Amino acid sequence: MTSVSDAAPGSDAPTLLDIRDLEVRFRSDGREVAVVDGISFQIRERETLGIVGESGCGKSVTSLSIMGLVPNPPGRVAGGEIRFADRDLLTLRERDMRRIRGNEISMIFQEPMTSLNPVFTIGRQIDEVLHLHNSLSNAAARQRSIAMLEKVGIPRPEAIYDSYPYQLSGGMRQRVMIAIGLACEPRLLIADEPTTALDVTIQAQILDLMRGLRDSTDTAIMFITHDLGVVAEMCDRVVVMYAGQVVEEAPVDDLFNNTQHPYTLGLMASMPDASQKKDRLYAIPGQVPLPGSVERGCRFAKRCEKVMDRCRQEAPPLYRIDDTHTSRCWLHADTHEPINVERLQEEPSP
Amino acid sequence: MTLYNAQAPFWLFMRKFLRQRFAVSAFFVLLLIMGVGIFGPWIAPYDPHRPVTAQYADRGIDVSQLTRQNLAVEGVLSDGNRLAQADLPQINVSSDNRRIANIRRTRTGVNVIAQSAGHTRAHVESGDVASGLDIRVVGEVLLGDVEPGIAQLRILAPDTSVEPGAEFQLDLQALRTNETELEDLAAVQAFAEEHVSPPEPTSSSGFQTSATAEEPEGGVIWRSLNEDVAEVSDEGVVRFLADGEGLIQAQVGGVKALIQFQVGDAAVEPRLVSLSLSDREIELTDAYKHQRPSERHWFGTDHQNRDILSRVIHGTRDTLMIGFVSVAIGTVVGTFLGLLAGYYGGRLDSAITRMTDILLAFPGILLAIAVIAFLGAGLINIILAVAVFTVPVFVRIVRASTLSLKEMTYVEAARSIGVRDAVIISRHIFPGTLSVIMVYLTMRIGVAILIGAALSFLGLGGDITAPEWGSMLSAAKDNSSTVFHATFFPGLAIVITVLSFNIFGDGLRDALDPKLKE
Amino acid sequence: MTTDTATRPETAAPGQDDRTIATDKQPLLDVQGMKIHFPQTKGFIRKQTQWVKAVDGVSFQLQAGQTLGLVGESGCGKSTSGRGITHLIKPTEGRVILNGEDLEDLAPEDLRQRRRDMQMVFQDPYASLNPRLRVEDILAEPLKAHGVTNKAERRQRINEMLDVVGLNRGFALRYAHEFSGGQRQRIGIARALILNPKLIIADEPVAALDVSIQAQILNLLKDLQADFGLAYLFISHDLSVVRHLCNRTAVMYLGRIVEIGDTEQIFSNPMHPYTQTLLDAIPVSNPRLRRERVILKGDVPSPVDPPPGCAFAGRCPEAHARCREERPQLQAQGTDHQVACHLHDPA
Repeated sequence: MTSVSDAAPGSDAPTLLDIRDLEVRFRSDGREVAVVDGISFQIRERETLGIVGESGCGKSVTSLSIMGLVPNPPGRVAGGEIRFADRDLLTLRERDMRRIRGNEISMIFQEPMTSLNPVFTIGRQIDEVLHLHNSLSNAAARQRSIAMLEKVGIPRPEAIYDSYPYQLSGGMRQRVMIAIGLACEPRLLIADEPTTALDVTIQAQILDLMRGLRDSTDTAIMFITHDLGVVAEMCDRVVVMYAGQVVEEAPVDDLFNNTQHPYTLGLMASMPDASQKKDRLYAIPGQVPLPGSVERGCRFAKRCEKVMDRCRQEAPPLYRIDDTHTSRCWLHADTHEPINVERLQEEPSP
Repeated sequence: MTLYNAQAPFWLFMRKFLRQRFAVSAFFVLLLIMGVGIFGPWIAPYDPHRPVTAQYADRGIDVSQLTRQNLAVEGVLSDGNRLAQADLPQINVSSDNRRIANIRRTRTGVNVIAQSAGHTRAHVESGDVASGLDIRVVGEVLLGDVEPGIAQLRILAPDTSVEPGAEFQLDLQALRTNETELEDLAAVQAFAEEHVSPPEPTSSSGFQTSATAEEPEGGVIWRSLNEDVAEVSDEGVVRFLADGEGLIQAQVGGVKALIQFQVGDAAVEPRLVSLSLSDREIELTDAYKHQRPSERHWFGTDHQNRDILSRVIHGTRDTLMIGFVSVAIGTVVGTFLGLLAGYYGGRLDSAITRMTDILLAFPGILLAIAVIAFLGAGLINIILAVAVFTVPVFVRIVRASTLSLKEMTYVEAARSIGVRDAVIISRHIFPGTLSVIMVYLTMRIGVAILIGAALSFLGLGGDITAPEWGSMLSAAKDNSSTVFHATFFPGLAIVITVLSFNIFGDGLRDALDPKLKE
Repeated sequence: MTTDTATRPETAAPGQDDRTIATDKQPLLDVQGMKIHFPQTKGFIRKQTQWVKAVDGVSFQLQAGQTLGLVGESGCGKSTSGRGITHLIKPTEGRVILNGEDLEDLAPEDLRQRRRDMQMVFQDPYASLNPRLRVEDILAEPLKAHGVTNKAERRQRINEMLDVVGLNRGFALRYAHEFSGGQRQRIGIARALILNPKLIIADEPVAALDVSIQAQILNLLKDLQADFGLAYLFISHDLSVVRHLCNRTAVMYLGRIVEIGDTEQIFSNPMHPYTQTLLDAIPVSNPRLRRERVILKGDVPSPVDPPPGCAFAGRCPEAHARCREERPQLQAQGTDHQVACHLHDPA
């Protein structure tokens, strides 16, 4: 165990969210393709889990399926289960799902400009969430909303309560979104690229705020981002996704300092660094494959530096590097044990 | 290099469009309408400008066949023999309502001539007997069902060879014009009381003709024509007084029959006891005005007896001309001004926008009427009038669309490269506005047709006799309470055309909408 | 106002300094005191009330073959500066001298001709290519606009350019919407390069791209610079990217340059408090480097009638009374390093 994961809530904390073999398929051009293809991971209580990947890797679709918001059609959850506090969210009725949404799991989005309704005051939008899930008097709701605004670091919360979204800057709006997300003290907060649209200094403010909230509340955070720097700042554990699959999962320190998967290595090498001058960046060649376009073998094989013949023939299983670290690569075949062997046998052998 | 590139914008559009069944059907309907517009003069069955009756001769249709009918008249003798018309005594004919149908005696029978739509009865009389017939003249008036009248009577007696002093009840049977029979006196009496009296003409003209004025009473009238030999009571009980030829006549309305008795040993000649007509129910057409839809005229004829189908077909061209040409002018001018206003902005934009605002402040039809008032009536001026009120609509949408396209990075990129304004407008901005132009164009054609029709309807189309849908409606509107087809079919043509353009436009919009995925 | 600007040290003094240093080498691009103000209208009668001072006196030089990074947060005027230099937006004041020619003095047709030498690459590769055109038509456009009328010649040039940016020649016949973001950005770069310009103004060219694609494009830009001797004006909000690509860096805040100089100097020895917080705000590249940092309070103030003193004074942790009254001017702090901050003002 490294120091950073030790600092995080212990790995003995009970599991809050357990996703197993989730498969989400989307129909396009008359063909159904798996956008999320059998991913499994867990989030423990009070933990911050980072989901990293480039656009099209399926990270946002994963969060939508947790919320039960996969647009159907064209999408549908084709398999697997999502267990949240011992309930399978995929089998819940819409009515029960609504109760969980916002109350036990809430979500904040990338674009703070469009996530707020421009015709209602900030206060009304927070009150609405409170009323929806709690029976509160108007005065009590107002008080609680103002307390929430104060909690997310908004100066003059009483004045902001009565203002409209257009009167606020992007950073302020994202704070309001976080206040709405946390209004009902959810057990899980899904943050989908919450700082991508913000400037660096504002991003630093928001990350600082979220770190503070993580430490002061019992909420677990699922932090979706494409930015490894944000992950290094925020997360306890990280899941790296590529083309609809989990390719590496590790505590954050392991991921950065004991990187196993060639894709994760490539990502790190291709990030320019403000603290040191690199003469030339490493660039992963080629493009992210379209969902369903890789017929067989490893999905990263075409872009991988260390590709072997086997990679082009057979899809690799996840290998267990140590207790908390897994990686999906044939490079580990000789040194480590594969997990989820059952799934491996289902793959058609070449 | 292949001609078909699945990713080319045109084919993307086609694939999306073909998926919309409604719009595709509307498109084919429009193709059909355009075909009709182009080939109208060759398709139309009749000359739309002349009454059809004047054209029947050319296509071997005898008008008289429609409007006249000959009936053969036969006499029935008391011995059962038949008597041809030539041998009958003087035949008199009368029609209850001469405005509906006339009846004339000819050498070979009688001739019924339709005058105008309606229903009437006529009688043929020869000597002491008479037959009735029902005449229907089909025309602009909708005919209700009329109780079939009595065509012929037959008097029945237990014996026709009797001694004086004998007395018995006569029975009466009647043949109605629809070939059914009234079996006995009671039935005839009941029918006569209900339907025959008072013997007013069935048409609502209000005039009483002389023929009916003579017979005021209703019911069955019994009469002895030879009072010395026999007498008959009002109830039809006959009593024979002396030898001779007893003649009893029964009359219901204008229909009369005789019965001949041989009383005692008197010698009697066979007598005419009733008249039989070859047709008892006649249907004729009023071929001179407002013919109803029929096999000959699918859409009927109008108040000047012109074939409506032919007029609708001929009118398609003018209607489409108004729609296409006016919108084409309006689109070209409006798009040009809109592109300039949107791209250059500033004072040019202000000037064009103000002008647009002023034009848009008028209700469309009012603006068009104002233009017509200025230019005078006529097809070309209608086109100009509709074009004038189409221009501001296109200025507005093209300007709005240009304003947003101007902000596109690719337009900025083109400017940064040093591409000339004219090239930027024509290559980058105009194609972008094209989709919204196409949609509006299609929808506006529908509106233009409606406005054009409205202007013609208001009599601003110049030649009000021209086969144009609006003027057809206008001309037919006065009779629309009674004549349904004269307004219905031109109206239907307008509705189908405008609706097709609108559905097609809707389909175009959906297919051109980039947000709507395949 | 105009006379005032001319006598200001910020435009006159450093500019003269530079010119004396580099008299043998005339800068490719010389921006002098450029201001871009937008009128802000208010109310029904559109009465003009205020000026939005998007760019408020920017001066710098760019030598041929060099890269100047223009960094700052959204709303600081860096993109507007780029458009002012290309005269896509006409500057309200100041001069833009390209190759010794003042763009302001040029007739519209001459300006159009000069665009040959300065081309732009845009941020959004989806919006900057007309979706209705094929790659071939997109790349042919600059050639047509600048008088390459021979079709075969155009085609040959297009094929060359596709090779240069690493795209398959067969792509020429496909439509822009068929490509991924990275491929589109390559097309955008090919379009900018096809006229052999001397200066490329790249406005956030990698901001919309994924990390792995971003690295590809950055490497491509570097290679092209080496091959064709291009000068880049690289506008970005991402300090890491700027450090990687640029020889010199200018940090902008609220329409003004607050610090400009050699990239290594600025990153290793940031002098302006804003530059310092900006660098501090960058997320760490390894969780082991997590640290407490100075979190900047508040947002960038509105460029409508900015405060009289230093624009950063309201957020600056080290602001003092003078900062709120007097606007600091750029002062040389070394061979190639200038800062506009009273903390470093010897006076």
